[in-house]
Amino acid sequence: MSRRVPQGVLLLAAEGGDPVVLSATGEVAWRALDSPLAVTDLAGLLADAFGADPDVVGRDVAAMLDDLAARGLAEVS
Amino acid sequence: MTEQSLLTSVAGYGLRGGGVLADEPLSEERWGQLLSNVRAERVVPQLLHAATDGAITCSGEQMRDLEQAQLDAMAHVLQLDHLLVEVASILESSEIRFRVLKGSALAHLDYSDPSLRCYGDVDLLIDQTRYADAIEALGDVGITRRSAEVSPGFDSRFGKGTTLVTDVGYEVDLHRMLVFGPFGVTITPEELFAREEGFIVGSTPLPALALEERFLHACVHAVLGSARPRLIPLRDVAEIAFRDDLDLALVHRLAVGWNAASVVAAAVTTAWDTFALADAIALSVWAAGYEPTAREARALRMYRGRRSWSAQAIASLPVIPGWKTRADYTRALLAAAVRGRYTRDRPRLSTGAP
Repeated sequence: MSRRVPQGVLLLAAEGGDPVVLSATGEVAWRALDSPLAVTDLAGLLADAFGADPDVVGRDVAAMLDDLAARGLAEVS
Repeated sequence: MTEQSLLTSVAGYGLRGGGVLADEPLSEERWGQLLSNVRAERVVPQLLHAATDGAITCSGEQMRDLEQAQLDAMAHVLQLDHLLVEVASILESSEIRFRVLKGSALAHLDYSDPSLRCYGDVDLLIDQTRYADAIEALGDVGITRRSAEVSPGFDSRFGKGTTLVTDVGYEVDLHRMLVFGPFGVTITPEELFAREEGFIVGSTPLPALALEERFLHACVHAVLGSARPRLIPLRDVAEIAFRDDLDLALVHRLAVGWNAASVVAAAVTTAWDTFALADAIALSVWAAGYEPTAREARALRMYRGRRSWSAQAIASLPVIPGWKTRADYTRALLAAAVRGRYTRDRPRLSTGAP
């Protein structure tokens, strides 16, 4: 579950716990993940949106998804 | 602009058009008061909206305060939504029918973005025939009554609702009817369960009242839920009234059937007056021209000003069907009065948190 906040997007896992704020790139990624997406596609989308190096974005996306998965906020398969 | 008129303008911000509320930053004292007021009235998102639009000028520090207030408010509603999903799961596993009322349902279904609606508890309408089962099922997982029942079995037969609390203090209001007193008796719960509109929290589908029933409940809550209409319930009334898909013929049919036409008219005119809404829509024109009967005016007065719970309870008598039920009701009220439980339960029955 989520809410839009000035800092980005506020997320709470289905299991509860403390809410987490995703800002800037994270928020765009979260919106894109409304439907399942390949990690490489998500990285490409963000690289385009922010005019960044796809390799660098790819590594950041992988780390972010691992973090979200560990908090129960995303599933990575 | 006085503190109250500024607060009211903030609460109504964005309903129709914009307008400037303050064109230079407020003094620290006034800003502190405004922030405290918007938190208390749960209109932090409306202040943020106004500030983001530039309708109220904030210093950098004030904007940071406001952004933090919104973050805090949204963190709270997410925790409540999490609790709502847990409670819904328990009720569903016990096969108890329910409808989500007020906060979460309105945020998801009637506001353009759920982040625009704050709320302070979880509200559910429970199937009257399973009311005691619902309290027991939630009690089994540690969500328990805040105060003692007026008399054994009173809640399931005559009560408006019961407040339960979790171990960390979140409140779950289980409603048996939408309002206490004479209007509560004429709004038949079976009709409220006849239709539903769903919404999703996380990945969990939840049932709310259908649109027209939701609008009527918003009116009931705005006008009868507290001695003086509060701002966020009035905003709810206006938000739904402006929806293009609201079926006015159905609203009218339901309102007349529930003897609540005067309540709808009072809610709409109060919302229009409070927020100084210039737009005349069919509903506001009808409401402005509505003349309550002497009986309706008497019933409405009972919910306003210095409200007496006992007067509302006694006023319910003529509309309670069957002499035996009326006798049982009177006996239960007298027993409660003798035990002095009126006083403890009165706040629960006479005020409605938005």
